[in-house]
Amino acid sequence: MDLLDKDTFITLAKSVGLDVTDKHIDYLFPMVQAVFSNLRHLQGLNNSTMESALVFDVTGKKTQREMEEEYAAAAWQEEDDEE
Amino acid sequence: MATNENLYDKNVTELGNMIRNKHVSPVEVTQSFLDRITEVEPVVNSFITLMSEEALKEAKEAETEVIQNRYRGPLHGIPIGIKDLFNTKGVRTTSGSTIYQNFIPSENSGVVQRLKVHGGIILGKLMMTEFAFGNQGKNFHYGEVKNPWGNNHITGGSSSGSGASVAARECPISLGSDTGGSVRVPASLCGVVGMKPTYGLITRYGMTPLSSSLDHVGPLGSTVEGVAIALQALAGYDPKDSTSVNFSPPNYIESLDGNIHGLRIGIPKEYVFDILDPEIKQGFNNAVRQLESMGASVETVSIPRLEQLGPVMSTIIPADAASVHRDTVLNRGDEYDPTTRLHIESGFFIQAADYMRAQRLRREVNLEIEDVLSRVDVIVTPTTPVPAQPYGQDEVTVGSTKQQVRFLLSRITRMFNSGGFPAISVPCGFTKDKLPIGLHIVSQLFKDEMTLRVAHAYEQSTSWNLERPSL
Repeated sequence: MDLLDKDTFITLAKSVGLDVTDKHIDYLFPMVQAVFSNLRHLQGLNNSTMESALVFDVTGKKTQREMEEEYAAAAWQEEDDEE
Repeated sequence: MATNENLYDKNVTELGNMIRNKHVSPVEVTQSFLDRITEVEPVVNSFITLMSEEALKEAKEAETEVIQNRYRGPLHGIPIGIKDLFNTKGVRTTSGSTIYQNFIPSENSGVVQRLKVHGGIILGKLMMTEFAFGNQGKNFHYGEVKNPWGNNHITGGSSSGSGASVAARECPISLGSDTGGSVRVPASLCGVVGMKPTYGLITRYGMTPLSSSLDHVGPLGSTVEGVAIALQALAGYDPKDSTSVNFSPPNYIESLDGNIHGLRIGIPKEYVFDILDPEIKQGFNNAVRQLESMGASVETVSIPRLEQLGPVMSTIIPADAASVHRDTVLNRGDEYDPTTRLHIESGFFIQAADYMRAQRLRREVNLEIEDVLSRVDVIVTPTTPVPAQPYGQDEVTVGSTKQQVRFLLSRITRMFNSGGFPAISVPCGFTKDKLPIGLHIVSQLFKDEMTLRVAHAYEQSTSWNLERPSL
């Protein structure tokens, strides 16, 4: 079974604002099929309980808020030390 | 302060010492590199915009400061090339596109500002693939960057000019950006050192994004010490970059003690060696034996789901890029490289639910890598599975199967962008066709000094970085 047929692709392409009369659409179709094929790897996973990696989550263990709190605490500590 | 030596052939450490001791002036150093650029640029094509006048003016100011004993440190008077996606005040910043061919920023990017504070001389804006898409080196609008080691071979990308310019001795240090290997791949293919530091260590303020949670800034140089000197200047908190981490960098240069005795080195047993050119494998094995002979212990480590980061990256990057480029690509699509346009537009079709599923899987695999790095000091791999390929050759046979070059080049490096781990590529040999091979060294987050330390010790025990391409 095709992951994505041409008619469905055209419908989706219109919905995201692409000009489907432009000739480059014919080249985009196989690329989007490849994207869908790639997504199938992800769709088979059950990882819904895992927290997402986010932009600020460098270590995968801390949120940005936690890191900011750590920095703030460290800064206060430094000030205390200086006094 | 005159000398007849080819100053362009000196590394950053040598040039810095000569400037500090007033044996040469920053003007002489800068002029030497400008002359070198004039000589080899018609072949290499590393620069989009050369800043000769500005560079000589800055060099003159740097010279005055040295004479007045106002020395700023080891970057004082050192010429540096900048990938053309870092904003430069008053100098066009194209991001490798014609859409921005006339974009003149009103202020400097964070990294350019930092380099200037440390006395660096900006030589010009370096070639790159359009908007940092692609990993081979060709720019649809501005042409091909030629690998100084090859005969019409690719440089790797997206920081193509950053790799080629250092290899061609057009500058001793350059700056690139790395979303999936865009510093380390050209460093490996061009036979120079390239480092992607920990995510958040170097400011990205004023840099054109590709995929924000994966984009890193990184220096390239002819030596590990040169890269460490650049990192020392670049690392540090910048409130203008919301992803910048408030971290006090250690002294990276002092960490280069040449001693790796007792360090634990891990080699992943999954994924990395599934597709590998035999000559790359040979070069890598030789490098590992060398590290062992220096007192490090080598062990196999397991990152069972490393391979799953492939689909993760292939989901996150186009979706992020689509969000950045959406309005421009819809309104001015014809002005993009057709291939770049297709990659961006393919991101329009990725749904939020799949994007978030990728981000969750990303975290799971990152934690696996972190666990391994809590037991060993570094992970080592080859940087790329294949050496530089000729332009126009889209496929390469590895083992018994044909592979797409564009998929292979960043196959290994991109796995370590996912978690923001510091990683460096250092030359570790050549193929029989005299094409460079890179050793890839990865360490724990914010342990950038460990990657530098191992890379430097290895470099000092070999002579690969003394080899020169014939241009």
